[in-house]
Amino acid sequence: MHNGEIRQICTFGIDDRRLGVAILDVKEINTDTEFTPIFHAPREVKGYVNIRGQIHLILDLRLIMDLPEKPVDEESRLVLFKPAVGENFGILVDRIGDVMEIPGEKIEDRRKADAGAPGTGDRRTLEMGSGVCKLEDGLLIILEAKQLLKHIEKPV
Amino acid sequence: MDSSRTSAPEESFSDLQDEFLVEAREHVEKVETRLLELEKNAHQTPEDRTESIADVFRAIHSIKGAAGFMGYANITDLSHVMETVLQMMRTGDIPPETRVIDALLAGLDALRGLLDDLDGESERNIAPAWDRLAAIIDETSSDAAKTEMNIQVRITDDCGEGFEVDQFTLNQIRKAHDHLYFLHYDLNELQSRSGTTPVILVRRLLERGTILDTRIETDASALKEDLSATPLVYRVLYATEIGPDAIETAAGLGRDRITAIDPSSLVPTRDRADRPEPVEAPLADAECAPGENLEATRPAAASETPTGFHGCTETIRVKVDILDRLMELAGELVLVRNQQMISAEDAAAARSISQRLDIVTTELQETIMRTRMQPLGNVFAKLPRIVRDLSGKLQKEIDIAISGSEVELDKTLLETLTDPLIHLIRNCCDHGIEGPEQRKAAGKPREGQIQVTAYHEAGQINLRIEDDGQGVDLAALRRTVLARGLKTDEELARMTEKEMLHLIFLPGFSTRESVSNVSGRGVGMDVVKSAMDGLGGSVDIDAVQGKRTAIHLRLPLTLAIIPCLIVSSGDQRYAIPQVNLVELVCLYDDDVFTRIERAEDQEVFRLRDRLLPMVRLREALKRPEPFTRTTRREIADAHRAPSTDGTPAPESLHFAVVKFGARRFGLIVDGVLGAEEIVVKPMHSAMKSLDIYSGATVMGDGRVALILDVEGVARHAGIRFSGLRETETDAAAQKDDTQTVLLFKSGDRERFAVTLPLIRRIEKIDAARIETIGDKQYITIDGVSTLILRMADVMTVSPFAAVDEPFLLLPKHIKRPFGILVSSIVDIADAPLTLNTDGYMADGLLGTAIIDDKTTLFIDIFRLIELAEPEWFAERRKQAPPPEVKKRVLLAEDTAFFRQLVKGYLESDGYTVATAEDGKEALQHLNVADCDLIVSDLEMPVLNGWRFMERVRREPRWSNLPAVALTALDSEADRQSAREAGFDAYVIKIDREELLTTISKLIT
Repeated sequence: MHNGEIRQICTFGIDDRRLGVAILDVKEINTDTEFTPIFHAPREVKGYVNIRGQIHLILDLRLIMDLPEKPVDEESRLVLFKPAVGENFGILVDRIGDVMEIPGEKIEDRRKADAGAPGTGDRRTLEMGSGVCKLEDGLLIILEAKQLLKHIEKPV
Repeated sequence: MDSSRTSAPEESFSDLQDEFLVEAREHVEKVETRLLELEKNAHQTPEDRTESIADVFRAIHSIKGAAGFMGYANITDLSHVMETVLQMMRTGDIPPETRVIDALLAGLDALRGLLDDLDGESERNIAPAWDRLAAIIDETSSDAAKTEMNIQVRITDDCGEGFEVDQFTLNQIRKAHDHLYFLHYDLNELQSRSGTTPVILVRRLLERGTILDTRIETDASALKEDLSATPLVYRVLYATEIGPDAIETAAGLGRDRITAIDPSSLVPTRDRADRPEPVEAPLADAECAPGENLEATRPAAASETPTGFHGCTETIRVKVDILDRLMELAGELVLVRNQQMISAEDAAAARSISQRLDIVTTELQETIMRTRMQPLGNVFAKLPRIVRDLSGKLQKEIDIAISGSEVELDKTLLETLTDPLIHLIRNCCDHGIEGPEQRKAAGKPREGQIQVTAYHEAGQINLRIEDDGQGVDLAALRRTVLARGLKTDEELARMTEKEMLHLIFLPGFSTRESVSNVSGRGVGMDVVKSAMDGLGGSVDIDAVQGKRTAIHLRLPLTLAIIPCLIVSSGDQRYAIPQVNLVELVCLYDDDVFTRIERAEDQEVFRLRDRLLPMVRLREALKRPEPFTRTTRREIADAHRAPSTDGTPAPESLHFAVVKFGARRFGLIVDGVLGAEEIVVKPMHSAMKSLDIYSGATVMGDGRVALILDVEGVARHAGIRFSGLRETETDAAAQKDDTQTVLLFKSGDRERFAVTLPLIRRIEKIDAARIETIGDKQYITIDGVSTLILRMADVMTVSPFAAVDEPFLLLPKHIKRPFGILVSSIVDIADAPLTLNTDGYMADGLLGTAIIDDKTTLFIDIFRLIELAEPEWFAERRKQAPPPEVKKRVLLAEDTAFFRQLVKGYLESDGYTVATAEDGKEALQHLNVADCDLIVSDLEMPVLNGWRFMERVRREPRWSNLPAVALTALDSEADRQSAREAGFDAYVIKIDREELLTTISKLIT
């Protein structure tokens, strides 16, 4: 990580965990949660959703993190990624947080950090090519958006 | 850095390049076609081919002209030498024989290579092609001409700028043109003043003369960097018939920019010792040497040019009238939008506007689609060349005939189709057609025939590639399949011939024992199959050993929008493409359980005596793992009887009969929601491995629905089609003693029946929308004003019983919009094929039968129309009149119903009809009584139609007797087999007008 570089992170929450992705990877945040389920798809796939005529594939971040499924509520949001990250796709998160500016040196490479809490969910999260940042009030896990799609592309 | 200034010239240079490329490629394609024609018509008199040669010459000349100012030296040199050969061909010095055409084609290929790689143009080696052409010029030229070629003449203008031209070219040119000029253009000024691009300029000059040489006063690098800022001097040495008075206007230049040259002043300067040197040393000898391995050069060429055969894919030529229409529609759309804004509050107005909006949008969409349509001819044009080259290489004699070049296809489809098609043609040449000696020994003409046919059928594009070669050796195929372990002996034993043939589509399959370098490179038909699958199409094979092989490709017209049936499962909707749909069936009450039977673990349904495997969509969706025997058994058990847990038993069950290729199965859905045209979006790349979907679409309410891949669903459910065959054949043997009819009522009393195959559709209509015009009534259906007929109008039956929502019965095979008004639909029933004609009879009836203890009147739709609207058929009678003298027709038809129906048709046009119940009886009849024409069914007991006709044709006295095949099926394969048996025409049984028109044409 380049020292002195400020990274803007779009944060969101799953249960009491705080996670984020680089804001440059995010296309938009959407509240549309009318999913069309895709039977036979890996279980992490929530389904298709139509965003202004474009069909997007939505992954359930909870399931990717091996956490139990939770019904969609009014706080649920879709984080949609830019085409550079992968073909039309996004993730479903429990709630959206602020955009945080974090100096590059504060983000620890997850490979060095043993920081992940022992829960299985976090261990899987850490496989997503993420970094970890210690904030005053807890941890922020930074996900590598590109890895999310790769996760389900693995043969099931 | 000021980037905008530097990028602009870059752009204009690449614009120029694009324009040049598009035009040059078009020329190259044209030249190839023409050259092949020339070779084929080598016996033509020189006068006859002048036009073709001149055409080729002009095309090559245009390329040379344009390449000259673009600074493409290799293209210029190559086209120059080709031009010289063509010039000599034009004067008759060189005949268009194979060797010369070969050399020209080699030149053309090299030219193509250069065009595909413009940036590396100067580094490519053109020597092999150049040498071949030069050798031809050299050996054909007289000594005098050779000398002339080596004499360089320097031509200079006032400023001392000049060109060198060899004496020979100069002499040739001066034979055709009177005047020689120096033209001095500034291309930048020309473009800014009159918008004339260099390509247009060259084209204009070539219309009136010949460009001998050109030069640009800036080198190519400067050209790229700063094109627009400085004058760009373009000098042209131009020979023309235009006199000095007119040249200023013709060239678009001031007098000071034109120098007339007095040809007599030209004196030789020096002998030309060298020719343009190849830029790099010749590659391996093999590259383009005469008669050399074609395959060796092909793949190499393809890998160097990523775009390959597809050529320039980034632009598309669209007919101006389509663009005009688009403009109009867009304009209309704006108008409608404006209106909608004004009248947003007025509900009634809003409805009519939204209707218009609907129409305009649909048309706009259709028109935009049309811009993507390209004729198949674009791909077909490449085939003769391939066949020619391969037949030379394989030492076979092969001719290719192409029809249907005008059929249009979506651009994307067309491009994807190219490679499979070429592969198939190579297969025909390599595996299909035998060598001339072998053919002769087999009693075939030495020359093999490849027939490529394209046509529309059932909303799909059909492509048939057929050769009269050795067919497929099933025994060899068997051996290969066993050797590769693709199927077991047992499996093979259970397969039909057709299924065996389909094995060649298995990956990695090839029957050729030695891998041939033409088409067998370890890749085979599976590539074609997967390409077709990818395009949403299908591929079918038909072969007769020793006789022929036919490959049949079916493709959707376009990938983007397809008509679909929307069904529901749970709270989700799914789309089934219309091309996969055969019919919809609904079961009620107890039938829900009793009619779905079991054959071992597989649920089946007996549909008109055909066993249909059944798949429950809901079950298929919720089980991601492919079905096993156990899964199927579980499902079958679960749906055997109403569940005992208290949930109410379903009152009805809907299923769609779907097909892929020749296979059919029933797909049970929760509900049928209707037909819709949907815009297809491909599946997300991470979801592509899911077999059961072929794409997704956005529905009218904005939600996403998935499109089902019925073949994938069948695979997932593990349907075994072959196991069901036996029962199916049994069922087929005992079919056809009944017909399915629609029972309906018009008035209060009589009950009518009409045979189902005659009905196109039944529409529920709003009685209030019926309009009366004159003494006739019409209603608008699908935007078409449709004539309404009441039974009571044409026969003495009880008057129509008025209801609010009557039905309109729309018949098939009627060219004009017409419907029979029906007050209620009674049922669909099986009725006897033999009708009673002795009891109650009226004009317009075929007869009567007792169904459910009630007398039912069977209507003759064609006769009814004739009674109501005599002039509809009068017109046809005028165009295809029945013969004036009474002619005798022999009708062979086994089913009594159709015999009666067709006999009636024939008699309505005044023919005398003799009938026979099978082919044998028909033959007996022929032996004792003359007839003028035969009409025969194909499927008949004892002696079927095909065998019957083969026997008829064997007798010399009957070899010219016109014969029409009748059938219930309308498929190209049947048409084909009927023609092969000796029938002159093929008509669908119930289409009276078609039958009578055909007969009239054959008999008069």
